[in-house]
This record gives sequence, structure tokens and C-alpha cells, in this order.
Amino acid sequence: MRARPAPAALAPAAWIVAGLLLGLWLGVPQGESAPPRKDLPPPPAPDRDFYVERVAPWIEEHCDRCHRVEGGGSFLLAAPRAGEPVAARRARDFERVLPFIQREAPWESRLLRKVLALDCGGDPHVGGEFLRDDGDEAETTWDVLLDFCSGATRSNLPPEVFLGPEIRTKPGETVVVDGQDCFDRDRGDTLRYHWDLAATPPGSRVALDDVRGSRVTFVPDQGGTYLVRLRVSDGKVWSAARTVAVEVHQHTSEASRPPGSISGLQAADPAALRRVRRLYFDVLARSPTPSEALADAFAEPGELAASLVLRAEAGRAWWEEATLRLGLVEDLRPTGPEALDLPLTLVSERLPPTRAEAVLVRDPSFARAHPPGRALATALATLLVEREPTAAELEAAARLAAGQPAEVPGLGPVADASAWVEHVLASEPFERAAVRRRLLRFLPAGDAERQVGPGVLAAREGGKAWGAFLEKVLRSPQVLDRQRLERKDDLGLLRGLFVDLLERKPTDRELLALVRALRVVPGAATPFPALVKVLVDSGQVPFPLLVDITDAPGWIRDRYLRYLGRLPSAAELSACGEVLLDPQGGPELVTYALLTGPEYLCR
Amino acid sequence: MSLWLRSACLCLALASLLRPAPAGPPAAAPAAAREGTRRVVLLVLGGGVRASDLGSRDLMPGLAAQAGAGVRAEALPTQRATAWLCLRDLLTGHEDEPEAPGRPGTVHPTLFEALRAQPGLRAQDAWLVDASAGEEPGLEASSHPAFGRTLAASTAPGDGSFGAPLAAFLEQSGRPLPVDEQVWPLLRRLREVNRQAAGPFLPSELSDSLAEGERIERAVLAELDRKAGVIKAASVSDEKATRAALTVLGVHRPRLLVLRLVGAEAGQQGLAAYEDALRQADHAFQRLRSAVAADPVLATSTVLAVATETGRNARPGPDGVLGLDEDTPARRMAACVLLGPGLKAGARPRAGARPQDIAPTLARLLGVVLPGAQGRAWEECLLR
Repeated sequence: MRARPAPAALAPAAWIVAGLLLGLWLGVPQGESAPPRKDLPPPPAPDRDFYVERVAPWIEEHCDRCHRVEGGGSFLLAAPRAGEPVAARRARDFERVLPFIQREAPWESRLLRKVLALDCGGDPHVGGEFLRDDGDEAETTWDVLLDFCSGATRSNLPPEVFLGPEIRTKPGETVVVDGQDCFDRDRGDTLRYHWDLAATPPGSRVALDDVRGSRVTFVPDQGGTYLVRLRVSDGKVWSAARTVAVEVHQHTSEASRPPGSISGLQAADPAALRRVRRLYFDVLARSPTPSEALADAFAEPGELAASLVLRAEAGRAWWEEATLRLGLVEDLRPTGPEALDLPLTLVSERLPPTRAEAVLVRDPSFARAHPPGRALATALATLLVEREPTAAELEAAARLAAGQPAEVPGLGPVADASAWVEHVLASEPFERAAVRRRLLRFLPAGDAERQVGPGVLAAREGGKAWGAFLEKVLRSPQVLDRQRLERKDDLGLLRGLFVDLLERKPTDRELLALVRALRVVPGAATPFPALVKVLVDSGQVPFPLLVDITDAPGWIRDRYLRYLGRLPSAAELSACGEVLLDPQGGPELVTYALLTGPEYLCR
Repeated sequence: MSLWLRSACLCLALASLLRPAPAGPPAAAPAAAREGTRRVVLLVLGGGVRASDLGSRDLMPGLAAQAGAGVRAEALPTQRATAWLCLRDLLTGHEDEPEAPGRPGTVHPTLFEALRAQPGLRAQDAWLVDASAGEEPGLEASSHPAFGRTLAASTAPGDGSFGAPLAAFLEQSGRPLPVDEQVWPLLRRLREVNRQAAGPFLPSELSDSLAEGERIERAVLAELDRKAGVIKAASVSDEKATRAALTVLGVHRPRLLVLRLVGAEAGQQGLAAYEDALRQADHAFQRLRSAVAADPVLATSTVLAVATETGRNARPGPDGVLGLDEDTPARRMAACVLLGPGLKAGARPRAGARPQDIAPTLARLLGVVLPGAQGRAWEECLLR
């Protein structure tokens, strides 16, 4: 058997590569599963007979002890019945297993990830790690489980798509996306390919040359993110789609510059650089690279703001922030196609935040993250409406969790929690809170509050009205001429740090780990400085030796422009110069101090 | 920084290991703690500890020196033989949970949940630090529909509250270098000039939080830096857990911190290893006590409790092993010592006291009600 290219399950070494190349941030998550094109059938469904014959014995050996009894979590196998044939029980188990399979992205199925070792990309599992995806030539249980999730039958194994890592290039350079590593699990069938461009940057007119070949080429005409999607068929079934992101921008990395040199930002107006930096944080939740800052410093500010919000990256940034806020991460990540498409639809359809958040709340992952009971009542109140749950709501939630009807304040008697959820999603407090959350990305609290009313009206009208409203807000003086600094959110802080120090974005795993560490201490005093220290001492940042800095004031000014978007005051220049030359100081310490000063925590 | 400078920094950092860590910026002294604002630090000695060894002068001299000033319960009979179920009893005040395989949680709310159900309390106010690295599930929260995971304790395994989420990241990036004491004034100066330059535009909470930020920064770096990887102790997991608990105590000043040590499991290797583990546990107690005493916020408000889960054979077998025979009376005997404000010095609970009483007593000290508890609070030992 041919070894499978590791899809979502990343080997330890691949983890680092994934950070650099497969990052889910600008591109699509590995679980990205945009809906299949209308002219292609959906991916095959899991097959009952295959389960009974190939999968059930393994499940029974490893999962029965915890999951065939009460208390085994949401994955609950069928209770045994006296005299019931084994095949019949396994058929009932099959129905219990189905919700743990993601047809549009089978490699992301919870059935797989919960038993996969953490260092191979698995999720935490109280019962332990059972499998490794080690790329072995021999068929392993991992292969069998992935086949099952991918729709294998006893007579046919499905084809598998494999695309390489994220591609980085410049406008005008030819991009080749190769699908020749795709293969059929039976090995005998000839593959058919179907490519499409799932997303392009605003204003791009790029098209793929041959969507039926084993590779496609195109020449990006605009900077931004292109998403290329591929499905393959073995003549019997079409696979789930996989997507690769093509990042197109002029990029000069820190490593390619001579040590101690400066980035050239002094050629631009510091006020313009500051505005560009703020807009990037407002819309994309990250800092610009020096080359991006330099290029955009000469753009008309209103145009820049309006174009940033149309980038796929802006949708991605919203999605990551929203899923993290709602607790939909790791094995609780969204699974429904509508939720997974949100990064794209948010931008292309200018989806209002009320509708976008509702999609995430209606996704099955939300109910898993906040099961009926106090957890659900608390989530509805704190996460959606931003208030504490009332005692009456907590009591109603406890009754619903116990399977009893309950009187929900403001709604009346309900028999299950879904009616309550819909009631909250249709309420004005939720609309106002969702619009406020979106506006707070761009506006100070007072200005955001004043715009909530008009924003709710626009959101009710739909995508077009919301898009026009948002553009008006982004072009307003409150956004473009803001002087007052706002505190960065956790994701923005960490993404900005990676871009500023390493000129790359963090992977989703890095981001999640660092956000968790940040949130150990909520409030104004933050453990962020310690995280900066980890990166500064990691050896990944090419700090110059002191002797390589021939123009110390110029080097310090360059750091200020890069990290704070302004020139240093005389006092700052003097203090930094002294620390730069101090035996206990040096470039690392100056950088560390700048990135941990109070101003860096703001946007 | 040049190589020789790096080397110099490293040498100075290593030298700093020999010096006691400097205290962070002092915090304002609080008003006298009232019931309801009190804190509890519960040190649980798991792995099977003979009740008579808790606070014995030979093995736990630090605790023995303090025990007289607190409440001591030396013989608390338990029906259990399984250590983590006993811990669950300690946290819920309830014993009649069936011990079914595959039933990881309890339906009775834990002390953590009862505390966090109070308005305004956050996850950072309740902590479980377990040297067994979470091998026993369901201790930080019950599955009670009105409580449950929403009100669970925060957990910090041996890598610490910061080190645990960052473990994979640190493996990839490496641990940070220790910060020499002479570097802090330089950092403070640069941050201060930055604060002055940006001051008019900064959010007020950020411009005011530099000193508090440094306190957190020092604690986190102490947990993460390269010297933190060097551990010498009889039980490495107990030492790591103790260190994690000390960081939690210093950074969060929680209302409830439960630290569980399991080094006494070494009794299976022999009596000497068991005694070493208890001496280490006593050292952990003294470090916790010192940390509480050094922090003006904690000093006046914190009750220190030390309790065992299950007992152990009274005498070693012929092979030198201090065993865990379930049919011996010593195996089913626990003990407890309580120290701090709100307690009558030298008091002892009435006859009939049992381990399920500890949770209600601690709940009473915290000013919360523990629903479903079968035990009773030791009112006779508490100051009105």
C-alpha cells in the first residue's frame, strides 16, 4: 500500500513546517471544506457494512470500556441487548458513530482525532492515545479508520486528494499547483481531477487554465490570498475537497537583509505608517510586514481600509476570533459546511455579524461545547448577550438538562434547549451585542456604541446594506484619524508579535497554545512579556551583533517605526542608545523592551 | 548580543540560582479577612500516607511545629481504599458514589464549583494542581447539571499553569534565558520612557499596570526559563507540582488552591523512599506557608489545610515494602490539620469526625454552601 501523505495529522517535524506553510490563518483551515461544486456529487457517506466488518472490532476493543456505559461523554455506544446478534448491535453502533464523522473533511473527523496521538495532530482524550499516523507502507488501523470516514465500501476504497503546503509568491509570477500526489486507495483506478478557485483577492480576474488536468497554473494579478480547491474521482466516487492557499505579496524577509540593516520605513511619512499599522490591526488583527507597510503607506487611507476588509484574511481573522471566543476550538471546532465556509462568505457576501455568529451558534459544535445545563445558560448569556445568567435562567437550564420542560424567562415554556437558543438569536440584545462586537474592532467603545443602532438596522436589511454601512464606518474620521490607542485583543497581539519578530504568521496550534497561556492571567497585567522572551531567545530572530550596527540611532528609529509605527522621542532615543551599549543590554534587550512596553499592547 | 555577553549572562543567571528569588513589588495590605473573602490552600497527601505520620516530628517537622496552633484530626475513618475516590470525597463531602468503571466524574458538586458559583468569581480563583498529572479524571468538576464544568477549577499539571499550554511550543522554540537581576532596571527604564511618550494616548489601565505586570512577568519567566528544567528531588512530579502551585499562589492569589502530592506511592519501593517522600511533602508545606506569609494579601486571609487520602500498612512487610493491604485498619484511616484565621487554636473535632467533613468545613471557612455534602462542618473548631 502506498503511504498516505499526512493530511491533518501532522508528524512532529511537520508541525514546524505546518507553522510556516500550512498555517490556517491566511489560508483555509486544514478542515476547510467549502461545499462541493454543484456539478459534482457530494463525498461518499460512511458505509455500514464496512464499519461492521472492518471498524467495529477495533472500536469494541478500545472504546467499549468507557463509551458503552453512562458517563462516557457524548460518544456513547449502543447499550447491549440480551440475545442481540453482534452484527445488529454493530449496526446500531454505526448510527452512534456517524455524528463523529465529517464527510466534507474526513481527515478532521472526531472519530479519528480523538484516538490519534497528540504529536500526530490528535485531540486530547481522557482514554488515551491509541494510534499514530507514521506514514508506514503497511496498512494500519489509522488507514482503516480514515478509509471508513472517507466513505470506503467493501468493494471500493475512495481516492485521496493530496496538495502540497501553502504557496508564497509575488504578483506576475506563474503559480503551479500540483495534484499528481493524489492517489486511489485501490491503486487500480485512473483518477479524474476537478479544480476550482474558491477565493481570489478583490479586483482579481484570474482564472484557471485547465480544471481537468492533474495540475493547474495561473498568474496572480493582484496581491492577496488565492484559494485553489481540488477534488478527485476514481470513477466511482468523488473525494472530499482539499484546498491550498496561495499567498501573493511582495515580501522581503528579515533574513534576506544584511544584519543590522534597516528596513527602509524611514522613506514613508510616520503618520501614514502609523495609520497603516492601525488599520492592519483593526481589520486583519495583525501588524503589516515592513514591505506591506511601505507599499500601503502611500495608498489613500479610505481606499486601503475598504480593500483590507474585503480580503479573505479579514474573514479568516474574524472566524478565528469568533470560534475562540465561543470555545469552538480543538475537538470542538465547527464541523458544519456553512460554519466552515464563513471565512469566505463573510467577505464575499458581506455577511452581517448577526447572521455570521448565528451560523456558529447553530453549528453542532456549539452544543457540544456548551451542553444543556448551566453551561448552556452561561454561554447564551455571557457569550452572546454579554451579561451574567439570571437565577431563573440557570434553573430553567438545569430542568432542561434533566429532560424536564422549563419556563424560560421572556420565552415561556419550552421542551428543549434549541427553542431557547433560537429565541436568543432572534432577540434585539443579541443583535446589538453582535454588531457592537464587530464595531469594536474598528472604533473606540463610545463611538462603537453610537453606531450600534444604525448597524443593527443595516444588518437586518442584509449583506448589501451591511457592507455599505461597514465601509462608511471604515472611511469615517473616527477610524482613520483616531489618536487614542485601544488595547489589542489576544489574537492580534500574538499575530502581530509573530509578524513583527519572525515575519510569519503563527500556526493555529501555536496561536491556541499562546492564547491559552495569555488567558491564564486575565486583565491589564498580562503574561505576554514572557511569551515575547520565549521568541526573542528562540534563536529564530536574526538579531545583529553590536558591531554590525553601524548607525545606532537609525537602527533604533527603524525598530520604533516597525514595532510602534512612529519615531522615538529624544528621551527614548537616548535611553535605547544607552541600553544598546550596556554590557547587560544589546539589540535583544531593546527589542524585548519595545515589544513589552505598554504602547505595544495597543493598536 | 555577542557570544561572550551571552555567556556572561548565563553565568550570572546561574549565579543567581544560588540567591533567593527577589520578591516582586509589594502589594497593598488588605483589610482583615472576613468569612467570604477567606482563602484556602489544601495540600493533599495522596498515594497512601499513614495517619500517624501526618505532622509527625520525625518525618514532617515543619507541619508538627505548626499543628498545635491549629485544628488537628488524627483518625478519620474512611470506607474507601481507592486514593482518588477519597480525594473526590474530600472535595465533595460525599461518599456514596458507586465506583463503576468508565464513570469518571461525580454528580455531587465539588468545593471548586460551590466556590465559583459565587457571583464574580472566575476560573483563576479556584485551582487544582495534581502531581499525578490528571491520571484521575473528573476531580476539577462534577457532572451536576446546575454546576459542572462551567464552574470547574483551573488545572496546572507539573509543567505549570503557563508551561502546560506552552509545552509543545517550548519544545519547538526552546525555553527563555533567565533574566539577570541587573537587567530589570534597564527594562523598567525603557518601559517607563515608553509609557511617558505614549501616555496621553494609552488606555488608563495599561499605563498604570507596569509594576503589577513585572510581578506577573517574573513569576511566568521563573516557571518557563531554562533553569526550571533542572529538578533534584525524591519525587520529581511532586516537586514540579509544588512549583506550579507556588506560581499559581503568587500570580493569582486564588480563593481555593488544592495541591495533591503522590510521592508517598514510593512506599511500594520501601520504607526509606516513603519517608523521603514525606519529608519532601513537609518541605512543600513549608514553602507554601512561607509564600502565604510573604504576601500581605494572602497572609491575613489564608487557611492552610493538610489532609491525607487513604492510609497505608502500619509496618513494612518482610520485603521492606510498606504495603497497601486493603484489609488493614491503618489503610482506611485519614488525618487532617487546619491552620490559619477563623480557627480555634488547639481545637479538635468531636468524636465521629470523618473525611467527608473536611469539604463542608473548608466551605464554611470560604463562606460558601456545599450542596449535597454528607459530612458536617466542624463548628466546634471554628471561631464565630
